[in-house]
Amino acid sequence: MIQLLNIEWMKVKAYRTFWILTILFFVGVPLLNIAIESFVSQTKEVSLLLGSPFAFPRVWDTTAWVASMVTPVMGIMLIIFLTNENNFRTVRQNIIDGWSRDQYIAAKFGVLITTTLFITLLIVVTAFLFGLKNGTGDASENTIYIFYALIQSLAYLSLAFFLGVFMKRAGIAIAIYIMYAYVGEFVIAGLLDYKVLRHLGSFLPLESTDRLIPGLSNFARKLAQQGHTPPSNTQYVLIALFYIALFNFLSWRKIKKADL
Amino acid sequence: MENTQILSLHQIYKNYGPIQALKGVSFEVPAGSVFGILGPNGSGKTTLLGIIMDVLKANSGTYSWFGQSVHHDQRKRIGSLLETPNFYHYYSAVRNLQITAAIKGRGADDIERVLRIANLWERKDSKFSTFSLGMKQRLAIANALLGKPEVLLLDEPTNGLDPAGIAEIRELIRQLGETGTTVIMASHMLDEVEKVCNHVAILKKGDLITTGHVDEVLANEDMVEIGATDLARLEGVLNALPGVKSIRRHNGAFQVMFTDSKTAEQLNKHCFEQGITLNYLATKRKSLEARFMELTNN
Repeated sequence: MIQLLNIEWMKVKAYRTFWILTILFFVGVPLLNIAIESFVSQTKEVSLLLGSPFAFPRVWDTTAWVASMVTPVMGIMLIIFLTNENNFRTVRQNIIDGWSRDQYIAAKFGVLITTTLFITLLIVVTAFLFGLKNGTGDASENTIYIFYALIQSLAYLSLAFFLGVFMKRAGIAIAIYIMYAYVGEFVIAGLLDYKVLRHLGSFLPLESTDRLIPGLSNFARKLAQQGHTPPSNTQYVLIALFYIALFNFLSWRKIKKADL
Repeated sequence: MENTQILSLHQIYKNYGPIQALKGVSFEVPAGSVFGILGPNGSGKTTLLGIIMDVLKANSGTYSWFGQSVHHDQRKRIGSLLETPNFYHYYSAVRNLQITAAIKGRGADDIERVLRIANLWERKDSKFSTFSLGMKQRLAIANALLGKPEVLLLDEPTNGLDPAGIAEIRELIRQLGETGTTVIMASHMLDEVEKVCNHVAILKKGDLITTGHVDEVLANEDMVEIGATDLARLEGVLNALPGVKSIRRHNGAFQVMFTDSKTAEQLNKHCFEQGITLNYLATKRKSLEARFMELTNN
């Protein structure tokens, strides 16, 4: 596995697009955190309403929520990385040169997991630094949100992975991904929740993890949920895991069986 | 060495929807041969090569490399160029070859040699996306040669090359064949196959028409051109000769085909004994092109 990952690293280490997107994400998460923190602390009414979300222990939840708005940048990186292999037909060449199809897939899953861990690590470090800066709360409380952040990142990236494997054109795949992540699922979830059945929207792949990490939208969610008990966090995690398994299984089967 | 098979195909079938691309193709590639897979466009050559390199899935049939059941590590011993040059567009020639070497687990120290063979050493740090068609093809050939593989598998290797490049690649294949590398080459260029290959398989619309040593495939097709001052008498003598398949008058001489192979010497002797002195005698191998047209047109 280390050897496979090493070759994947060779494919991106001098690839400008890879570095631009990774750096965008790397600076995007702390910058967005700073921006939202400033907004909350310097607007009295908001501050009264929200309390101190950037202090321990709430900072784990808040930072994970902030990061999830930037995570699609890494999804785009993954889509480009995967559609490149199709467009350049290097997936063929990798197999011809001696990889098995399973090795090719394992290498790509390795990239998926490494990227997930990178995102999670950045969230942990950012949250920790903001927590330290903002007072004396208990840092060990709420750390379950680190796990939730990992599940959320994996869900967002697995959808990108699926699109990257099944779509030939990077542009269309990225457009679908961004539209779905930012608008599409919000619309579908809203319609399911309020036109069909309360909390039915929780059964969507990204929405299940968004509800796991409510962040600053928590008070609005609480208002909307009055009188309707939402699914538990365990249920959200199980829903997300189901979709993660589904996306990756379909991708695996496609690469395993298809004419490349 | 001559008895072992590098590659065996057994009843390979492949459909693309309703289109049957391969209809039960079986043949064997002996070790050390320069093996030409010949066929017109759309005859299934590239599909066949795709299947034996595991990038396409056959609907049925089996194949084996090196006399063993298929394993992906076997492909690390094969240098391949399949259909198009496939490289990371954003990387230089050298970086692309480094990735190939890493996957193959060999050849990292061989990059300079293969780039020099392909006349790309001066452009080693240029991005692949800046290469011309011919240079891309040269890089693909360099990629196939990397790490001195035991087997070379080349699909239309001279695609996009200029005449000098074509001659160089032919010479290279011939040299490699002489030094024991097995070369499997697909082409629709007949003279290319005729000039470098010693074994050949001919495909037409997914059917294998014939396979064997080039001499065998063409063996019974030798033709003798024969001339004398008295053509009428010569014709009489030839007609009386056993084993004559056909006689055709051509430019003041006869083109004679035999069912068995007769040497020019035998023929000369026979005519002389019958009192005819020949003024022209030549043995001509029917060209592969004529044979190919004959095989694929009926």
